[in-house]
Amino acid sequence: MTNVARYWEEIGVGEAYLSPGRTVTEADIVNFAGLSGDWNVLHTDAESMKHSLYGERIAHGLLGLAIQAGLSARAMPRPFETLAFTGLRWRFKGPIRIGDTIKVQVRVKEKREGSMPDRGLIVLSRQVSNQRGEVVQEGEMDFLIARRPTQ
Amino acid sequence: MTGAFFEEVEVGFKAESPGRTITEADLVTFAAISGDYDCLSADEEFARFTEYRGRVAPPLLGPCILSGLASRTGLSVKVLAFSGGEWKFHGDIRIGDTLRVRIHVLQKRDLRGREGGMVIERWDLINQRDELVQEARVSLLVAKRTVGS
Repeated sequence: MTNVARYWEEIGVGEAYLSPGRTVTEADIVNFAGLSGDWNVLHTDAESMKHSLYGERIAHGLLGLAIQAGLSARAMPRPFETLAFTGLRWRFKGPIRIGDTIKVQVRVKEKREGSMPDRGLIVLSRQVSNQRGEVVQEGEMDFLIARRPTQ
Repeated sequence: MTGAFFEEVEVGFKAESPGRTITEADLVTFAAISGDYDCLSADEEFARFTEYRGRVAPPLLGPCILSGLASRTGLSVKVLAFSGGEWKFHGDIRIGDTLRVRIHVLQKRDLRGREGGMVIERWDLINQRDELVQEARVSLLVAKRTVGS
């Protein structure tokens, strides 16, 4: 993996990638409830949710955030030489329902030199949309990326 | 739905969850659900030669664990929707770390005529050494007792 990953210098502002789709299933929601321990009825009680404004169970917002991470990794032809994921600003704009197919668009929004000479900052914007083209989640993430070592 | 209505949420309220020990199984399960097999979290042979000297949890496992812990703090609210938030990831989460969350209700905003109001909370994720591992400021849409109030 390290031999193909890209250093900070090789990443360009404006680069954009679109991931394949992934259909969110009931199993994903059950698994996420188990892992997180978030058993809120919004995600786990089909009977109560029939009478809610959604009419059915919806995915945890954070499940969408987790799935976009995997989709993003599949969207990028070559990974970055990432040293740390340091911050996130995220909006959950609409529900993800069982059976929805989501994809993520990733764009390099910003590049900045860091306080340390061996790394730089990259800001990625990510937009998650469903099969109807509705944006269900979006936001920005900050990463520290290694700079090319000077020989 | 259990928990407090918007009208009952008190600004300034603080609560702390029980702890949860992060295991290797949590890292594996998170990779399985997300599809993100980042080498820093999934490849021990890679990770031990990095500055981390071993696997670390993907930072997004933090908000995931935190959301479950938040429901065990005694501050339970009737959430209609999770609107968003800002997270800062300060430190690593490692296999064997025990995390807990401290919640502080910062602000309430009534949305007139809507079925819910906005509650802004600060969520601090703390480890067994009392280090602040992650901090978040989140917005939750919380159901009102009286719709249209």
